Amino acid sequence: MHVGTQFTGSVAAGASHTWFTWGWPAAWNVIWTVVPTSPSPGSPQLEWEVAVERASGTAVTYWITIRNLRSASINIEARYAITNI
Amino acid sequence: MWCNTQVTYSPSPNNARSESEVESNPLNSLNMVGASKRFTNPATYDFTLAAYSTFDGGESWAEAAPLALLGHPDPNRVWAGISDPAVAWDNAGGCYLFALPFPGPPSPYQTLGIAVYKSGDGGRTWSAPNFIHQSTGDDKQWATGDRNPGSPYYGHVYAAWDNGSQLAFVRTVDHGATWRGVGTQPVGSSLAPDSFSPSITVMNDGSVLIFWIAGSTIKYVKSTDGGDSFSAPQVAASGLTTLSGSLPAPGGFPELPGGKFRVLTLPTSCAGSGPEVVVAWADYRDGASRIYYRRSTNRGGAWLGPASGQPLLPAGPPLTQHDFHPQLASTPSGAIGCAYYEFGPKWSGGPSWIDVQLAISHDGGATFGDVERVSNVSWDPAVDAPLSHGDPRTTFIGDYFALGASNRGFFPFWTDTRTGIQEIFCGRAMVLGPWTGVQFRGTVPAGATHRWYTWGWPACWHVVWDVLPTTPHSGAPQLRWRVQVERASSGSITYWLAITNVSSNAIDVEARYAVLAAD
Repeated sequence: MHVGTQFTGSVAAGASHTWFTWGWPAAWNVIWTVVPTSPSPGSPQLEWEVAVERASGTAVTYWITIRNLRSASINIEARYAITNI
Repeated sequence: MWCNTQVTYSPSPNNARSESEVESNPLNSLNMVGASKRFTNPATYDFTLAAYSTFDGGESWAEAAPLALLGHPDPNRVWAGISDPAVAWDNAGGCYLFALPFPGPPSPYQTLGIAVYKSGDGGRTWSAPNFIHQSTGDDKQWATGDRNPGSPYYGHVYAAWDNGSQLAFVRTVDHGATWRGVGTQPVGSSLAPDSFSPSITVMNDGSVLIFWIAGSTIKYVKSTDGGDSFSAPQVAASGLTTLSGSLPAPGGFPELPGGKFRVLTLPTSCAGSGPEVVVAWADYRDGASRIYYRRSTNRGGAWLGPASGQPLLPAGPPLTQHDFHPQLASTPSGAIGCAYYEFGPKWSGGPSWIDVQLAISHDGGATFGDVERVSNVSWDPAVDAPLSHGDPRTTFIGDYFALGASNRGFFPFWTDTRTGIQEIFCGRAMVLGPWTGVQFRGTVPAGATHRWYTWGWPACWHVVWDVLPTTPHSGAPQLRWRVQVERASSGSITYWLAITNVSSNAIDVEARYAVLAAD
């Protein structure tokens, strides 16, 4: 297994933002998670969805849409885990 | 694989932070104290120091109340701020922050002396400053404590700095109650006449070595009696190719190709768990900045390898990458780490950004085989960079950053701009899982959505969630779930799992977690 952070960024209050990350070997089993990095206790700050594009016979592009559930901008960190290497 | 924990959360880009230091409590490695510059006006180079503490091994950090500054009847000697943080611990839980007070304009003085702040509660609160030495020539202090229970001088705290070009020295042998220099001399007694930016190391037998750079030579003095006396200056390395001697300095400070921030060749040193001692610096002999070092295996009696040192990494990065700002530290088990910044394009044609790297030696500094990238994203040194002394030609990311070490491993402590602000981050090594389990079970009525939350998950952990029905009912899906995330504090996360029953019967559910990586 290998884990890491693919990108960081911010999402405006109440907004959704989509990032894409390309060139992932199609043979890899990749799991995506997203966490806020701006502490703000009380209720959920974000949720995310992953969409996948088979860009070629060997490569995958992941599209990660992150939705800010709050009324203030948040900083986020998108993490991956490759579970089969 | 490293967790990057954000230490500071600045209210404004004006509060840029850099030039960091961190040291672990020798009596409790969960407790570490850090410090850094905290700007108030990056355009005019106005700042003071801020101090930080953790009591959970770096998972979460708190910033202490602002450190007190002193007034003075002479307006030229009123403290506008303090600079150049150096942190050391004694053997009774006392933590000391050595600071360099300076006046505001239009004072003719650049600095005012050396002050010591003490914390007796692990860095949560700090004393008023003890202004132990007053000289407008003071600069670039460093400090360390004797952390070795087997040393006859266990608990002594030592500091050294430049007073003009004199190597000034101070120590306390009574947990900060009194301060004195060499022997019975007063605070700031001189050990050498040609000092720049000293670095202090204490060996496991209590020997104290103070290194500094004089032109292209790294020199040192040694005490074997707890600072009562020191040797004459000796040479640890000579023939260095310094950054100052190699790079353009449009604003008076050297700047790397592709960068506007200032860099310097400053020595860093540490001892292993035995007779090994290592001194390292940034060197430009290869046409790019590289970390070079020299090593002794007999407590500084003799130095191995070429007089001008050897590269830390025999196979360095491409010449487009510059390695600089080395910081050495060692763990009690004898691993020696060297953290450094690596500046350059991170992809072909890309902008020049910085990664934080850590090279580790497991053979007393003979080789540094393991190199790990600590920063999990590269950071842009041009973002939110203060102007060095207000000069638009040169920016500031600190003249150094920190590497802490304890029986829990290494803790790089650096400036990072990933949030758009110069903030301080701390790195902690992670280990791979997975560790799996069931977090909770419950029931969801037909057609309903029920939301659970589970709190206190370390923010560094990579956690994935899975929900299954435990009520058998074949023929159609029974549930779907959505994960939402809350950063409850700097170090912890609350997960919210909203589970929807899409069937026409109540179902029992089981929420499972897999921790893929943890610190």
